[in-house]
Amino acid sequence: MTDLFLLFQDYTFCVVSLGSALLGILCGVLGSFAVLRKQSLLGDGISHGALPGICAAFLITLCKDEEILLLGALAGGVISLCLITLITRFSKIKFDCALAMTLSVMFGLGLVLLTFAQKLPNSSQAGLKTFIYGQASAMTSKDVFIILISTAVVLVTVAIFWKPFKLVTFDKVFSQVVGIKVWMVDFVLSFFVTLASVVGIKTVGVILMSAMLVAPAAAARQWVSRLETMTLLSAVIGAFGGVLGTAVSSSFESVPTGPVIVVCLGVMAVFSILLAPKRGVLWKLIKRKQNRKKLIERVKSFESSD
Amino acid sequence: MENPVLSVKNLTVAYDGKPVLENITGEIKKGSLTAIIGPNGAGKTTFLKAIMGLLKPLSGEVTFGFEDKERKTKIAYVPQTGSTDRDFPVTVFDVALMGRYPHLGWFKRPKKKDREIAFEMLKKVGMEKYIHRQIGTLSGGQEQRVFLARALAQQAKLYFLDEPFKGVDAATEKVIVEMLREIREQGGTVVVVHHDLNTVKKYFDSVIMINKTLVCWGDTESCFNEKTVSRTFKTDIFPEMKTSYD
Amino acid sequence: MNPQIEILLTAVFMSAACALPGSFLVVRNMSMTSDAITHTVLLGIVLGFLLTGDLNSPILIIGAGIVGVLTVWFTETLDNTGLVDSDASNGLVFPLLFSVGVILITLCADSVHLDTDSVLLGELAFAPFDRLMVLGKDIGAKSVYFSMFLFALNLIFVLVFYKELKFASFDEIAAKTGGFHPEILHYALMTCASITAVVAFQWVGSVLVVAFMIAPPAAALLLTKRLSVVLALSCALGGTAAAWGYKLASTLDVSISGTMAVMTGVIFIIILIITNLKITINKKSKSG
Repeated sequence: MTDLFLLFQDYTFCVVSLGSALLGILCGVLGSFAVLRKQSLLGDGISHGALPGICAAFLITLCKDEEILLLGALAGGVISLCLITLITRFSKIKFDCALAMTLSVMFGLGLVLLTFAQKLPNSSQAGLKTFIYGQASAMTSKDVFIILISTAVVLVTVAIFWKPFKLVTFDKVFSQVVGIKVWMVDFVLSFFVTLASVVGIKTVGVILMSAMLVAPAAAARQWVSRLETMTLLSAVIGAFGGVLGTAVSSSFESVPTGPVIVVCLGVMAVFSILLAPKRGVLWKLIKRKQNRKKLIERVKSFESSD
Repeated sequence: MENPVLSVKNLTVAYDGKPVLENITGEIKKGSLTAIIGPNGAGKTTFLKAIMGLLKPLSGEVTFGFEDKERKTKIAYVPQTGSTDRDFPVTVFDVALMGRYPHLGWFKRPKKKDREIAFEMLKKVGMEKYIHRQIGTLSGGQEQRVFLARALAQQAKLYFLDEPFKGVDAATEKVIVEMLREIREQGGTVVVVHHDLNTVKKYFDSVIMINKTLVCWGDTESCFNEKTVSRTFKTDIFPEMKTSYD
Repeated sequence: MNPQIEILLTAVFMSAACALPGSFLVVRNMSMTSDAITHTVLLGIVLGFLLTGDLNSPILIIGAGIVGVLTVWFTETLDNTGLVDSDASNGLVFPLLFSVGVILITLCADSVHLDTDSVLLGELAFAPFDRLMVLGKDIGAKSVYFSMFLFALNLIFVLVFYKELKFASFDEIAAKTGGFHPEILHYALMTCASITAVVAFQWVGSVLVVAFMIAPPAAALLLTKRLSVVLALSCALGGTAAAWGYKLASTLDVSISGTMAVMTGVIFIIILIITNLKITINKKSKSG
């Protein structure tokens, strides 16, 4: 207990866990929409596109200011998003195929640009490893501020446009009929996923972004079935997972934060899927057994009456 | 009397311990055209899947008029339109040729004879002009005809069709009905999941009317009447089932 | 053989080998499964290493293959509960297994040279350093033989089971009633994809294996309506992308595997544009 108390007195830890918690809220809220819209893997696809964006931003401006690199990452993400949309729009290629292709090809492009960047005199290894796995311990108050702003923007927008967002998530055709601009909602939500992926890179890295989006939402879905409560719970789970993961990883040296956060969130999701009342696997197994027993008795009575 | 080609005894199918079909018993005569009728969610497709051996029933028996090991060649299946991926890279001819696969078994390649049979069946359903077209470029009715040709190419004894008339044009409907009658003339048996009550008497000689449980199974003339139809399509037949199996 | 040719041969055979199981993943609408498998093989390698303590043990490849197949199985089991959608199951399972792999590496295997970077990125340029010696004689780079063997293995698998794989991929129910076992074929295919991923990632890294598995078949699908042609064409397109990519990378002196992956994408985009132009022109000539 005292250890934990000491941990919270530590400034770095407070910064890092605040950042992870905010990111958890951001991803939790957006994840609810992504999961219900069957776009769980979009974050994965987009976050890989951030690598060429970062490298290109560095190559063009030759400066390593965080804001500029982040803008580059955002641009890379948006380009990936556009590519996926264009490919599915102009061919019979399916969404998941376009996604897989875009993520790996963009990552390849990122590696090419990275080798260019490494040849420049003033580059001191931009830190590919950090990019891939995240390094929450290096988070500064500026990073947290950026996450805070993004989260605020997203939360306010979601709150204002709650009704159209909700409607489009559940029934696109109906939304179109009542005059909602579906493509706009689609774009805004996808853009937010891009934004979350980009600001989350420093914490969890590119590969694990999909879990940040999916796990809290999948866990929350098991306990509640209204979008309002699901989004709220998902945000809480995301925040809790973020702080827990940060705390655990900071007690072990050299363990990257991203994977630990993902394991925490993943375990919560699996736990929810197994144990949630009325819906979980365990509940269903018990119920099935009871029902089967009743049913078999009934069936026997049919057979004997023949 | 001749042995039935299919007999079902006390068939009960459950999903998650909840009954989807309960206590279905009946027989399908050789050379009959049978319609399975019932409202949405009545378990028509489940029934079809259970008798084809795709679902394990909770209890009951399904027996065929032929040996179990012959099942793979003697049972042909025509899926509902749209249940396969329309963008899949196969041509019309490829699909029809798949009807020969059960006869070939593992590893053997289709021979000239198989190709001839596939082509002949495509001709029968009027699709011979489209053999090089990709399956997704066809209309719903044309697609249904190709799948029917596949089943015909299998030269089976027992044909199962899942909603073959759903969303097809009048010409296709006519072709399908003709083919089904031809199958019957050649001693085959047909079971169809059907939704159009107006054509039941015209097309089918037997009916299976189900709504979770069996309402009537027998000749269309004796079984299919106003009383049985209203019983089949009435929703809460078993209100007690809802309360005890949540 | 000179090292350049060895690298080229390795790259061409590897991308052709990836395109074969990749084609089936694409037509079965399981493209993102390749992303999952290529990542989770890391866990298999770590577990294999912890078991044997040897980085060159074949157990590592077997372990990775098993974990790859398990990933698919876990995802499907989760999907079958009906509690989460299939894409969400995928997005839940593979990051979790991958994370466990990364954590295990940093906790247990930090002292040895088992670097997460090498798993994710691979290095084709180093491939010629590892020689295959027969009776004390150097007969070429191991990677050339490995990639050739992998291609041959996949080719045999696809040729022998072509009819069955096609049937089961297109219409699972009919294949099942027809006496073929779609579930066995499914897992055979997943095993094939996993083994391919394990062998290929040491050269190009796990993220880029996805490009070699998915982009050439997707490009081939734009051009043809026959599965057999998709298979052949995707091997050819993959091989071409690898060869061009290697040439371009040597000229520009940049990441070889990255450039090859970019080339697979470039080929896809070129074909996409050409086919769309053709459609537009056809429409115009018809209407005008």
